[in-house]
Amino acid sequence: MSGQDSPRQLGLIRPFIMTGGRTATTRPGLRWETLIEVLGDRSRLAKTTEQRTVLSLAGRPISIAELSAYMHLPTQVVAILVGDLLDTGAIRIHQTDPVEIELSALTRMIERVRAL
Amino acid sequence: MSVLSETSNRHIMAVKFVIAGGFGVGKTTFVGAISEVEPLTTEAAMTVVATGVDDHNAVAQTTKLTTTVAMDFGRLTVDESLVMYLFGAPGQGRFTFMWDDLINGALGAVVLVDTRRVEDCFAAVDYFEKKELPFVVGVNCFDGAAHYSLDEIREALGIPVGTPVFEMDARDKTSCRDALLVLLELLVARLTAKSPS
Repeated sequence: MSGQDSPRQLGLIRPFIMTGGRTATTRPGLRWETLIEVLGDRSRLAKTTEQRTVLSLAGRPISIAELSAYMHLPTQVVAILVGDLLDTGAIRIHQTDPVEIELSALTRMIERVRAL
Repeated sequence: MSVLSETSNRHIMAVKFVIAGGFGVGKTTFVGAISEVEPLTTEAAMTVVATGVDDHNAVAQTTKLTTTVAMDFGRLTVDESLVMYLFGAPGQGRFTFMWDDLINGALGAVVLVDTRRVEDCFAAVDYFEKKELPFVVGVNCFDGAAHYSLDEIREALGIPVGTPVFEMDARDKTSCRDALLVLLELLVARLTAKSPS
């Protein structure tokens, strides 16, 4: 994604600079597997380069963990960026509360895994 | 990938599973065996607190250092409304700082045991028990490693009756698939026991 000798990868830019020094999101519902998705064409709502990158990657549902992997940023930093974008209305999340799993979902998972 | 490509109002449920174990036990291989994509690497920021000696002034005495820990994870799309994520997580006690985030919302865990370093998963087993996260224990039998019976492993780790312990080979895709199925069947059994219909 970025050049090998970019300041980020040389460790010259601390990740939490991008979050204004915040180290935790105020949205506890954001987990590593939480899927986010851009709402229509809201890319103009991005205020920073990192927010723009999130929006460019979230054209289809993508998890915070995947964003973290593609952006080379810690999950906590991505969660903060995502929280800010939720505040602007640029994205939506696919679920909020911890999952109360249903039998039918488990059955579908078993069928899928068996087919591997 | 393709089933996730359309934007619409429907909700996709993402569920998380944890593959825990010590270094070199085969967590990434396990994740890769199940994942539909090459395992990705994410990192969690970690605050190392170097605690001071003065108990009365502990806060003032600590120094915080930030570093990151890498974790491999993979994804398996079940259907258009359900996606599974598998995270490989280090089982040793020094990584407990991130387990709260890790198991937040997780459905269950597979603990991989290397019989040469059983102690590498003590902390993970204790933690999952304390948090009541359902887990199963896969015992990796590496060539040349001392062989312990499953009962010996169960006793050494203090694994309760009702938690499956089985032999497996993380290098074998079918074996990983079967291990995950043991966990999923356990979840079904727990759910059915909780709400008899």
